[in-house]
Amino acid sequence: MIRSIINSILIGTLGGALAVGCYLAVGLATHRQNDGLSRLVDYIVLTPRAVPGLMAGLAVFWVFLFVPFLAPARSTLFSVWFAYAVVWLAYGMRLIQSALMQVGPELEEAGRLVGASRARVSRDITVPLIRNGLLGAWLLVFMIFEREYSTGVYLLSPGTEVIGAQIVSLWASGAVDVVAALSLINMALVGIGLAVALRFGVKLHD
Amino acid sequence: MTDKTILSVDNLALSYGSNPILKGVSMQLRRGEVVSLLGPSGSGKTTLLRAVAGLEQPHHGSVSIAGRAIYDAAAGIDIPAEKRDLGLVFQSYALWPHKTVFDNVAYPLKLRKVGQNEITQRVHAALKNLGLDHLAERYPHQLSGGQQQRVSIARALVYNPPVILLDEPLSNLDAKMREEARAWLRNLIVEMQLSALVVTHDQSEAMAMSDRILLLNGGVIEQQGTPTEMYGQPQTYFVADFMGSNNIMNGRIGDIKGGEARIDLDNGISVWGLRRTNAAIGHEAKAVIRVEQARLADAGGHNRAELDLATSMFLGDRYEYVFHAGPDLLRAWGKGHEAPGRRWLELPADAVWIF
Ligand SMILES: Nc1ncnc2c1ncn2[C@@H]1O[C@H](COP(=O)(O)OP(=O)(O)OP(=O)(O)O)[C@@H](O)[C@H]1O
Ligand SMILES: [Mg+2]
Repeated sequence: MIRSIINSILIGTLGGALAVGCYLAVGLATHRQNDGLSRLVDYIVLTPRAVPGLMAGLAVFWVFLFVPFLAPARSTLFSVWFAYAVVWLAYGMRLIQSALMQVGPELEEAGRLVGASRARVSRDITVPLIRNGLLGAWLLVFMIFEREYSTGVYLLSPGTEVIGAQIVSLWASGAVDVVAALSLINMALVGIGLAVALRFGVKLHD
Repeated sequence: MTDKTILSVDNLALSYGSNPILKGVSMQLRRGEVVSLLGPSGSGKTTLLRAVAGLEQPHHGSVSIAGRAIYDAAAGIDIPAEKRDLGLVFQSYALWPHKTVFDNVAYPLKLRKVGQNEITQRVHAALKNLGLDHLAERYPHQLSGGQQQRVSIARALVYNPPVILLDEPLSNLDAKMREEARAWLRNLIVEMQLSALVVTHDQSEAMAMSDRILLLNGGVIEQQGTPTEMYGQPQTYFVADFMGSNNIMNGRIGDIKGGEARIDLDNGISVWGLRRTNAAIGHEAKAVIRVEQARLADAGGHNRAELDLATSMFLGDRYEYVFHAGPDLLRAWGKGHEAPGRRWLELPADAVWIF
């Protein structure tokens, strides 16, 4: 029980941040690139959403089952995080890309002109400018990861359970009071995440 | 190409998709010279500047800076923008909003691994030079348009690039400030012995600021020369029309005598002028005369016509007389107010161009 709460917090906060980091890396790699590969990536990132989360979770399960060097990680929280991150890739990428689109191209070009490589421009100009967008993305991803469970059904094992899954299984066994308590905790966690994000400058409205 | 040439563009061509924007542009910028790229909207000025800077991809021709090829389609050379070591001042200034004025100007030096002490000293020197020393700790949004422009110039100059490119640097300033700023900018460029390529669509700005003007039209250079040449000896109708305030009249060639021709205008007037066209007698042509060259006369004579003066308008430093001549409105300038009525207007033969 306690473990499921800790796992949910971990996967929401750290996992969410890590996922946003990955989405950002993909976003930056294709940012303002107009070649065929970048366009292909734009479509590929949409595919995980084309199948139900449950199926995608199963696919990840198989990957962890059959790819030898991944097998040891199968029953760790990493596999659950990995499934979540892949399934919500399309969603996260849209958040990142819309933040990146807000950056005036001339601000980046000015960086190139004064001598910064593409990577330096990303680090020193683009990313600092979308800081708020990234925090907003983290907040949304955090809230999703916090309550997500269907994707992880096949990957959950003793030690890696999350609140959402616990609620469902407890509901099935009729422990309504515990379900209510867990739900309240989950809502409180989301509330805390929101408060933290607001503290760091996420704006919900102007 | 002489050894004084610092920037040389040779037969540069660029297309967006199948849409050709630059159709073979060649130009040279000499050390210590200010050259203006002038032209109507959409003529490719910004595109040319950006291609030189490495922000747009040409498909033909070459560009070199101080003898070093930075782009050469034939040789497969294309140095990325960050290695071209050019200074560019954007039309929108493009200051980084998350950095202070100091950090904006310091960033190019930081990238060049200049020591912290030297950065501080050089940035302050650059800011001081542009009268911005007291604003170092501000953020760009706390500055006026004119101050932002100066910061962006400071940022482009602080690493001593051999050539500085400016895209309509004055267009965001209001009309009065613009006149002061162009004198200030010209002075700064000359004093610091910079070589500058300046984009503008304002012909008086180009004439005031530059040693030479390149007039771009539809992706090719229509004419280039000193401001006096461009204004006083336009080679084509487009240049004549673009460079000043003109009276333009249509007609047919009536007579030709060497370098001069007589044009019989549709408005009934016949004038002699400098022949700038190969059109034969009887063919259509245009007569162009600068407004300041047309003048009131006391009596009839060569190249004079009696016309209806409709109004005189007070412009502050002069009066503008508006004449009706058939379908055309002709304008001339003078010192005093003139009552409406029949007046003689002279169009001096050496100031009329026939295209
Ligand atoms: N990214 C682009 N894609 C397609 N066409 C473009 C692009 N940028 C510019 N063009 C076209 O290229 C032509 C030249 O544009 P450019 O910006 O160089 O004009 P300009 O001379 O700077 O005009 P202005 O005085 O209005 O700034 C225009 O016809 C424009 O429509
Ligand atoms: Mg332009």
